[in-house]
Formats: sequence, C-alpha cells, structure tokens
Amino acid sequence: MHRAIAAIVAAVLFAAAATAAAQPPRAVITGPTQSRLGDLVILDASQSSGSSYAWALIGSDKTYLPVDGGLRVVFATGTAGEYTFALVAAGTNANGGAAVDVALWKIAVVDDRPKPPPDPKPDVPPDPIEGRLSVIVLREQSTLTADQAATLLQLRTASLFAARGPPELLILDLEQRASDSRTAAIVKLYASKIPPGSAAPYVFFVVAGDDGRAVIVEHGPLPAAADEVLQRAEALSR
Amino acid sequence: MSIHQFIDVDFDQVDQPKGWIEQSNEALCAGVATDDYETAGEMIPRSKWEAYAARAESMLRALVREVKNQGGEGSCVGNAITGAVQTASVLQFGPSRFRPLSAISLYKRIGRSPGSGAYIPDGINEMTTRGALPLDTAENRAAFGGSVMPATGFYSRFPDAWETTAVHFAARFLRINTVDAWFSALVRGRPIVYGRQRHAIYSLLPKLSRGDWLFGYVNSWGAWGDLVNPDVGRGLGYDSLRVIDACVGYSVESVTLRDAIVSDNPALQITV
Repeated sequence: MHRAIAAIVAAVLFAAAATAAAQPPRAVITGPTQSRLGDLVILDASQSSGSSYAWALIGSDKTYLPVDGGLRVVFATGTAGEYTFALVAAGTNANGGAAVDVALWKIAVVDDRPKPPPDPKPDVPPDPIEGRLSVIVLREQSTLTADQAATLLQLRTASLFAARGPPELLILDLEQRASDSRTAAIVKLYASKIPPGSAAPYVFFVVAGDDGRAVIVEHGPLPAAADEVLQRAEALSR
Repeated sequence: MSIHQFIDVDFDQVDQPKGWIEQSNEALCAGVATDDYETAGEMIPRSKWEAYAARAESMLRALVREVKNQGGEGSCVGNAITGAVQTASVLQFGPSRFRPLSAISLYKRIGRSPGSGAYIPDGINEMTTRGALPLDTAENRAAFGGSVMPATGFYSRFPDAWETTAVHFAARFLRINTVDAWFSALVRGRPIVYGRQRHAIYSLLPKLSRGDWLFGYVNSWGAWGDLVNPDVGRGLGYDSLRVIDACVGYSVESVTLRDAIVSDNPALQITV
C-alpha cells in the first residue's frame, strides 16, 4: 500500500473506532477524469459507505480541500499532468472490528490554452557596448503627464538602488533650448535626434565612442514602465 | 515616534531659529515674474490623489540626500530654496551627481544680518538668475576649488569669481496658488518652497493619514521631526491640507544643467 494511503488508513481507523457504526465500509469515487488547467475539480464520495472518510493526493504536494465532512474534495492546479486521489472509507465489519476500503481515482489535467505563434524573428542579442551606458531623457515640463512624471521618478529611484552598475540617468528639459548656454546646445542636439512625429519625453541610450564623443546606440519614446528602460539598458550594456 | 506630533506644528511656540519675513500672498505672487503652475502643468484630479500619493511617497523621500541645519541664523529662506533645488537636482542628475549647496551663499544676498531674515521672492529671484555656491565639502572642493561656501556664517566672504560657479546651480520655478496644483507638482518630483509663521520650508510629499491629507515638508533644523529616509535621518514635518490651502509656494521646475558637474559624462560630448 502506498505510504500516503497507509498513513490516512491509520488515521481513519482511529476515527472509525471512536465513532463505530455497524456498516462495512465501501469507498466509491465519482467525478471527472479530465480537467483543464486551473479549472475546479470536485470528486464525490457520497456513494461510499462508512463512518469516516479521508482523502489523499498520491505523489504530489498540491493542495486540495475536503468538504462536506469528507464526502467531497475540491482541487485545482496550474500544472498539467495526471493526478491520483485516494479515498479511504472506514467503518466496522460484520464482527464489529475496524475495517477500511480504499478507492483510487485518476484525473488528467491538460493545458489546452492556445500557444503563441513562433516569433518569426528570433531575438538577436545586441552587440556588446564598450564603456558605461548613459540614459538621457528629454522631457518637456509643460506637456509631461502625471503618469510620465511617475515613470521618471520610478526610473530615477530604480537607478538609485540598482544592485550593480546602474546606467547613469540624466533628465534634460527641452525648455532649456531657449537659454544661451552650453546646456542649450546639448539639449538642441538631442532634440534634433527626435524623429518627426515623436515627442518628449524621449529616451536616448548613449555610450562613449572611440573618439570620446557620445554615440547614440538606441532611442525611442519613454515607455510606460521604468523597468522597460532599465532592462533595455541592461541588455545593451551586457 | 508618531508623525502626529509633527502635524501643523506651531512654529511660534517652537524655540528654533526661523527667518522668513512674512508677506501677504499678493506680495508673494507679485514679487516673482514666473508662470503659474495652474496654467502650465497637468492637474491631477482629487479622485486619483490617493493612488498617485501612495506610488510616489517612497520615491520622493529617496530624493532627499541632505537635511539642512541653519544653526542659530535666520537663514531659513536660503535653506528652504537651496534644499528644494538640491532635491530636484537628484531627480534630474542622480545621486552620483548630487552636490549639496551652501544656504548661506544665497542668504547673504537676500538678508541684511545673520538674524534679519529674508523675503522668499528675493531668494527665488536670486536662485533663478545667479544660483548658489556648492557647500564647502572635500568633494565639492575637489570639483570647484575654492568656489564653495559653508552652510552657515553670514559674514563668510564670497570666493573670487563665485558667480561663474553659482550659475551652474540656477533653477527655474513655477508659482503654486492652489492645493490642487500643490499636490500635482509634488508627485511629479517638484518640491515647493513656502513659508508660514515666519519660517520658510520646502514641501516634499503628499500623504494620506487616517483619512486626512498631509503635506510633508523638509525643515532646516537638523535632526528634527519625522524620518525622511534612512540615509539622511529625521527632518520631516507635516502640514494639513487646511494649512497648505492658505499658502502660496514656488515649485522647482528644473535645475540648470550643471556643465561643471556632468562634463565628464560622454553623453554630453554629443556631436551632430
């Protein structure tokens, strides 16, 4: 007998002895034999006879829930496979001694979710980039939405506490184009790299080239999630 | 320690230096030629306040890298403005580029004596046009030579050619006239300089506590009040929505790109 079943047999025998009933035990399980991933499975022991019932899921540590005094068990899982339940019914035999009956029930949990189509263009890792990566964000305060501002705050804070080698993040204001300073020249140069039809906030991934000058390796609109920027920076730096 | 002991603190009853020469809101508004936030920025509806505040609080706290201490001088206006600009600069340029500023380098230009106090519009105008000097620290000395000043000491002398360094730390401000604009500016990472009861401070974060809206401000009394963050320790007080509703403030819109600070970054050596 399986070790799990043996354990619950001992338990229900003890319970049966405490609530002895003159009825030979009989374990009968009814229910589905197949289920889909995540669907609720209910197994029924109401056709059984005995004074007490116990359930075991053999060879698995998944959680299940006996209800109605053990006459039913409820189960759901996110892992496809075959699962075997054991029902132990305890009672007394014709001589008044303790007796048990065991029934097994197999149920196949299948994953029938539609599979995503294969990616026609496998993700090619980017070329490694020498030197430290900087992330430049051009923002325009007058048009910056609250959500975009929150993303910039998240980006800054994530950079602040990044475990290793966070990219350097600089936030420049498009409004500074109007000033008469080196700042204005830098902001104007970055602004000129924003493609027609795109608007601030806009992100540039920048690294030092061979001549010590900046090379823009990638750019695009600020994503909604700061993590997307950091993951891209990580991929480019790797 | 409960934050509730630091809500709507009666500054008149606290034996600490202050230094804001009080003005009416009309005079506060008239003293600075700048735009109003209400006409220049997106306003967050109150139905969304709770979500935005909850998301922003820890990040706004993390932006503070120094709590100032005005010592025995009435330089709170200089401390509030340079403190707010520092905090905004962390959002723009990052903690590795953070440079603490000398509050006295601003206060010397707007106060008449160590204890005279100053007007907020004077401080905002000076910070907009001429900026402030870096604080006298070993790191700042390495970067700026002698163009640094201490945190306190009204009679400290300006170093030679201080203006060329100070202008790197100039900032732009927007005026805040309503609580709705106040909230909207804060959650975007724009600290707000304001004053009440003869004391100037800067507002950092909105916070919903026991069903009431509070606005956390960073003070300049050193280790006073509630914890700001584990790195800088205490320094935070809270004003209720009722108190803020009566105030006019100036939010830091952006800090000038500080060439001298970031010039080693290849990202700024861009060519066409």
